[in-house]
Amino acid sequence: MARRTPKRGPLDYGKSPWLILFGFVTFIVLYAPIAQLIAFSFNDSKRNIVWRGFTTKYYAKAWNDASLVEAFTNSITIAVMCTVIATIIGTATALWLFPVSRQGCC
Amino acid sequence: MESWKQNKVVFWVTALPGVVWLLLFFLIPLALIWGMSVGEKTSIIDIEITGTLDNYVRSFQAVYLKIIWKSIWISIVSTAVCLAIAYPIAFGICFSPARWRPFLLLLVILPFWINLLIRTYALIAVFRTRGTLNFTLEWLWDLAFLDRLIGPYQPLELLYNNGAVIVGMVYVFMPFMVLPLYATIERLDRSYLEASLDLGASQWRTFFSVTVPLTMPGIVSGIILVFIPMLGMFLVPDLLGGTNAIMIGNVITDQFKSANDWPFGAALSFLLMYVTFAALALRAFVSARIRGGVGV
Repeated sequence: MARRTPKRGPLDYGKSPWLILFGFVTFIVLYAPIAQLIAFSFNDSKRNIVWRGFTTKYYAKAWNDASLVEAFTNSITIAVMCTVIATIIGTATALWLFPVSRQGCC
Repeated sequence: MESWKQNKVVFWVTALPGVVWLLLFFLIPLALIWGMSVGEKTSIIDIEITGTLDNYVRSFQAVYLKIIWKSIWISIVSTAVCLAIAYPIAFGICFSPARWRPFLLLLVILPFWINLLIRTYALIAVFRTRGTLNFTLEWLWDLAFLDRLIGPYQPLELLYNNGAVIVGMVYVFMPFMVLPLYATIERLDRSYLEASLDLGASQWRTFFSVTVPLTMPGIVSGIILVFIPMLGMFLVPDLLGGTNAIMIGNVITDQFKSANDWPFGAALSFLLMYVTFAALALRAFVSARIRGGVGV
């Protein structure tokens, strides 16, 4: 009996070229717009349609804008506070619900 | 874990924060809005709860019914497309080498952490008339010498229509669909698939008669997780659909903001909620019937 190693087993869906291709295309579609947006944040043009050269001036502008920095600080403060409160309430509720869900309700 | 039954202090300390919070910041505000939905405006800022059903009657005007119906079908199409894309992705991740899985899952979840607004604007940059997609198509057009044969490339109007909204919704909600699917496919007992293939079923037959039924819980929870937020979405239709693709979420936002008609907005919101509840009830009813029919 000629022994040849099969390319892939019947359950090796992870090696299916179609599935891999599909995954590649999906991830590219998922990330291309975001990557483009990041790339264009370095674009030396306000209208952001054509590439006019590399610049970091918009980052400098954001960094030097006092109200923007304040808004950013506010965002972080509020996010931290929300996380702390949500963690406390969520943990307490989970501790309360866990025995209930374990034993059935009554 | 029976300590809390004996220990009243532990019980109340753990129960109170969540219950009080939900009561104060969820149930009571919701009840207030419900009250408003049967009230009427007496002045610019005053709303009197009179028990009138006028707001609901107004919601049943053809204009609003059409918008509700449009929201439903756009959400159905977007959910279906989402499922069709997310299932192979989740399936592929589950069957990929174990060391790749966390990384691939991270790739799916990562867009989650990027603000919805930014992702939507990123899509605008791709789809607008002078956007990336049109530039790419123009480049291909010129590459194929079609500009000399037919004429210069006419940019496609890709934004501000129903298609743009559907693409945007699928783009935004994809991770929500992949995660529950991944969780169920991961737990799938592969010996069933082997048995099916051993007994002579084709790959497609195995997929549709074994894999899909076994992963149905994931499919259903994914659909619910994606469909309900889509139904009330207002940001994506607003930015990508403009005035051509108004969904019920936009109408409700307008009532609360620019039109300053809170009672009518409240009635529309609750109508949307009733539709959602009806869909959930239908789902429970269907699954109960299926279980009853197969199990007993």
